[in-house]
Amino acid sequence: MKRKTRMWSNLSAKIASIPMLITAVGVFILCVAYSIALSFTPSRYFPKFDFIGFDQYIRLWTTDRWTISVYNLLIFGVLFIGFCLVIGFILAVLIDRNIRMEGVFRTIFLYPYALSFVVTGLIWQWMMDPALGIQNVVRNLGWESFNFAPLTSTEYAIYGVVIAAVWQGTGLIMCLMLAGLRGIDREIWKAARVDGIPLWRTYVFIIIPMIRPVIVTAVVLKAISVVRVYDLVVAQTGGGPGIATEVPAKFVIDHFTERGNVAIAMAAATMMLLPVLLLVGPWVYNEYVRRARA
Amino acid sequence: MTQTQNAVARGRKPKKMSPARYGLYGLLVISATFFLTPLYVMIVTSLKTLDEVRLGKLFALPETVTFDAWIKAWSSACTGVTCEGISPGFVNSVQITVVSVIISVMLGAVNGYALSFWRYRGANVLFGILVMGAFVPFQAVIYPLIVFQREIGIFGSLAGIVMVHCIFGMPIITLIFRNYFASLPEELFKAARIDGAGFWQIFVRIMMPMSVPITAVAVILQTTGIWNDYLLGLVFGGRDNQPMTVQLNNIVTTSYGVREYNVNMAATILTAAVPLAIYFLSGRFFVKGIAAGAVKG
Amino acid sequence: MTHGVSIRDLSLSFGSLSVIDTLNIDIQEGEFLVLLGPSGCGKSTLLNVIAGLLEASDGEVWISGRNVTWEEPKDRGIGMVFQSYALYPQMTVEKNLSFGLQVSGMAKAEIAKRVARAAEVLQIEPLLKRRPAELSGGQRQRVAIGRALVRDVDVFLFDEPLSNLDAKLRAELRVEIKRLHQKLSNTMIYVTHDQIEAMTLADRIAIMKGGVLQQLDTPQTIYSRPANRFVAGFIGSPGMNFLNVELVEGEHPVFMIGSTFIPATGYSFDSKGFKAGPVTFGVRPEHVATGEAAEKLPFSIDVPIEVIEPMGADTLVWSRFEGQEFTFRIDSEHDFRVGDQVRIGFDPARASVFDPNGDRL
Repeated sequence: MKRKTRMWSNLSAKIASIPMLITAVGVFILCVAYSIALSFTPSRYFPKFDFIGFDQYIRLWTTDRWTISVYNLLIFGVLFIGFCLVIGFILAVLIDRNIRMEGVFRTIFLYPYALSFVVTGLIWQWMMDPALGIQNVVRNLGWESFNFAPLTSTEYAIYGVVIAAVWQGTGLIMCLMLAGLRGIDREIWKAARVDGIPLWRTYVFIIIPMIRPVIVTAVVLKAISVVRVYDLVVAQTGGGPGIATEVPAKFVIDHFTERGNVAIAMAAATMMLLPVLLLVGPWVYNEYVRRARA
Repeated sequence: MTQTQNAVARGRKPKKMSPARYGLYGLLVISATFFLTPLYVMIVTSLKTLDEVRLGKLFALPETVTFDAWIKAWSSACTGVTCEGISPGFVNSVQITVVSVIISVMLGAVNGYALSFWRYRGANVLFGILVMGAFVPFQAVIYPLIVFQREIGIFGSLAGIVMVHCIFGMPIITLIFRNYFASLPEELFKAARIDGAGFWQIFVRIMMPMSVPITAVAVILQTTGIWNDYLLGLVFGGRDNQPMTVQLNNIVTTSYGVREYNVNMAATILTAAVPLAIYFLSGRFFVKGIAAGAVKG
Repeated sequence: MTHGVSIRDLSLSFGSLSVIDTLNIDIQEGEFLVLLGPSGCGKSTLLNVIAGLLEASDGEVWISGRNVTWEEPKDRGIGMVFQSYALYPQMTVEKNLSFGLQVSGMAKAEIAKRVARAAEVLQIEPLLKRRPAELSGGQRQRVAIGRALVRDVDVFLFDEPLSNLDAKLRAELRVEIKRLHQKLSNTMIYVTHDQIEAMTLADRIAIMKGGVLQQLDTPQTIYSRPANRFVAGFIGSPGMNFLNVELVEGEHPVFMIGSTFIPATGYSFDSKGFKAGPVTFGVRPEHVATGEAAEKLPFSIDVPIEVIEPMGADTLVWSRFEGQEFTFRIDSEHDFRVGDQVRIGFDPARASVFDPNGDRL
């Protein structure tokens, strides 16, 4: 009897949670499981459940386009996250130094974040245009040997993508870091001044360690967006020149759409999922599940 | 030495603009230039004639301001097979965004409310899965969703793309509302229950009126997010529901013969206009949305 | 003669908002001065100006005979203890104590010596390897004091150091700070809004309100001869009774309240002297006697009891004196009941009288 009343007591709440239940279980568990299952099959255009073990994974890792994609992602990820963190932190510090027109600068640094990756990619594609872009302007000024057309070179194109991504994403990091800095007890600053600790040392030895949680959050967020990077590359380089700026996300989409190879696409998607789970699992557990219980 | 100083040291120390201060503003201005230049270039390029663009003066102001490129981008540029400009994409994006935002914010609000006040068994686990979902790469989920939508026959329709946006928006919106409701005093909820109010009554009469600011944050976050989406629109939009971002990319990539840079930039501005307007008009809410929805990356 | 700290014509304003207005305080070497006042009275601001963390708009700050108005905090010869402790959270206690010295380039041996001494004085030796997060509130505050101590300075500044602690710990640390002052005999300036802390710790108290110094005197004088109505009301708990009375001249001047006359002969008027007219007559609840004792005092009257509040050590009684609210303290062993008429009495010599402007007469 008691159990029954408990079951009925928040029935409305349970009914209202059905869409959430379907999304959480149906999409984020079943769909993911379905994708992973497909990676062990020989599916081409349509799903076909004959299990063939790890064949697709072996093929995947012997495919140049995939290994280049992964390599690009690593370079892109390290540079993008590194630059975002460093520049974002410096900008946050500058803004936090009690400056005039703080609001104006903050607005300027953050607005690219409101733009889509497609827009970002197209703007920077134009800025980096070899014939009419920045390179041309500088050369016309008299510096004939100036080179700044990374998108035309297989070697440097990925760095062009990094620049665009940093331009778009640094504002967010600045925002997070600024919130972190503003959250620091003002008396810490006073104590450091009374102790006679120079500003840069205060930042390096006291403030940065204090905002470590913010930095961790920033890295996790950026790492996630690195794994997902797709539209930026599609818009800015289309993966080229050749396959020089291919990325895993694009590999997956291309393979299950135009290339009609669902199984290898799903193997690639599973590979993308892996680092996310390893990286985010503990973080989510820590931030949401454990804290909710406490 | 101290003696002479003593005689004058009174009140405020005379301010000298220190070198460090100059350096600080110098760095700020340089950074601001880096962030503003692309916007500037985009705008001036779109206002030039194609002949002037070809002169290669990227940073120069247009000699004669013309909106021809804008008009062409809006109504007659080619987006693949058709040449109707980007306006059909605008209409599609508005449709997709409005419907998706309304449904996903409502769902998220109900979820957040149920999770924070009606803690039934398994609520934490459910929420944990949902938050993890915010991080799952779309690529790991998209294909099964395509298969599913084909089965029930909504693939490529407005309903299909709205559903996908609701699914991928749910974790973050739920999170925002849950955190907001968790910050409200529990007594409020208890008092309402003692007064005999039920699940929906409390939600509609008490919680929603208190949630106007956070709803605004959620709406802004979702609007910019969905408007800026490319991947989901490309895959799920079918032929009739391609959003503006997809058509924009088509305009730029499908240029026969001459590349019309001014038209491309005009189309880019038109696509960027909505999120930019939201950003500049809503400032504080946008930043709040970022803080709350930072997980979206 | 050199003072420990000397504040001369100090003013501070933010735009049109004046926070400190032409303030003058001389603090003796080795003196314990408490800055007391309600929040927003400028006491913390003043301390920050002394520390050099805020710039004065006008006036001078002298420390140990030097004009330090334009000097950096680290060069002023001060140590400071903050309300939030402001310990560096990622450093051990030892590192917290030594970091400032290290940065200033002091020799390792000297640093070790100073840290050891501070740790000994404050009895925090066992905590040296821990981090602030692993310490209790009281321990953290000790470390914060230690950080000021290792700087080996003449002047200690305390900015509400005990406000974040619970009542019991606050009382303990209060005594410790007093011991510390006796042992070190440095000049100490201590900001608080807690009158008990002020009364117990201070050699002298400076009471501030709205950026203006109200009274600067020993705790006893401030308690028994408050310079104005604000000070009288701020010090003492429960607060002083204020009766609106009429001061009437004559051979035997009296305070007239309704149909009652309180003799004014015993009251020693301030230099400002006697001024007939409406005045405020202040009596502390603890200066009121009841029953037989009341009869022996120069003034006594019957009043009705309205509310009785037992407070443990004693009991507070709310009554009405010629229609005006009046409280007094009695022993907790009593047999009063609400509604009773009771005889109360007090000595006008111990009262405080204020003119309509609030200044002491």
